Amino acid sequence: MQPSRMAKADETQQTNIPNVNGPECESLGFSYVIDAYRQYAAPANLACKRIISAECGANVEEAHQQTLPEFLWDVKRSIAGSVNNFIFYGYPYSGNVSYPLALFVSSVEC
Amino acid sequence: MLTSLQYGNTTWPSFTTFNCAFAEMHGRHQPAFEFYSNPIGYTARLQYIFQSGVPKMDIAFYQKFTAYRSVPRNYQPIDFETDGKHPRS
Repeated sequence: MQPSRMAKADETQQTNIPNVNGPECESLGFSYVIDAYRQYAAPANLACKRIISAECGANVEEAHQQTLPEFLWDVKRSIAGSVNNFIFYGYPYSGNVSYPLALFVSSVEC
Repeated sequence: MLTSLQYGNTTWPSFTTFNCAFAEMHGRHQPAFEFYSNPIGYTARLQYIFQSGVPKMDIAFYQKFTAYRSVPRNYQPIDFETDGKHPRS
């Protein structure tokens, strides 16, 4: 669960990460900065969470342009920042609706 | 311009969410889908390794912030990175 979805790191992380079963950050919200992943993983490691996950792969304005090496690039950066579980964005499984588009996307977990 | 961007179960590009704002629509309509098993297997093996064992850190930075307005690079000097490039030093 993402304690502060797409938000810049703020004080909710320090207080909320230890309270959540599975803390998850976001590569998009963290701008792929390794220090940001470390900053996120620090309270999780101190709280002895075995799994720190990240939602990877949502690159802005790159729909249908993401290559597989690019797909892995952020995985590697996140591992350097102590993230050890990846959810890949996204997996659309419903079409033929006009609204709301956003509800019909899930993520693929390895 | 006719595209299939609003409809699933068609040929690529098929259903695309958020008005094409975010990558990627992983699934059977992606041309690279038959090759996905390699990077996903790689990631799965990395996950298995990094979820086992006990995390240990050599250095920790104590950050005395109560509110973070951005996600800065908090330790500005690059001496650690430079040292990392010279394994014999």
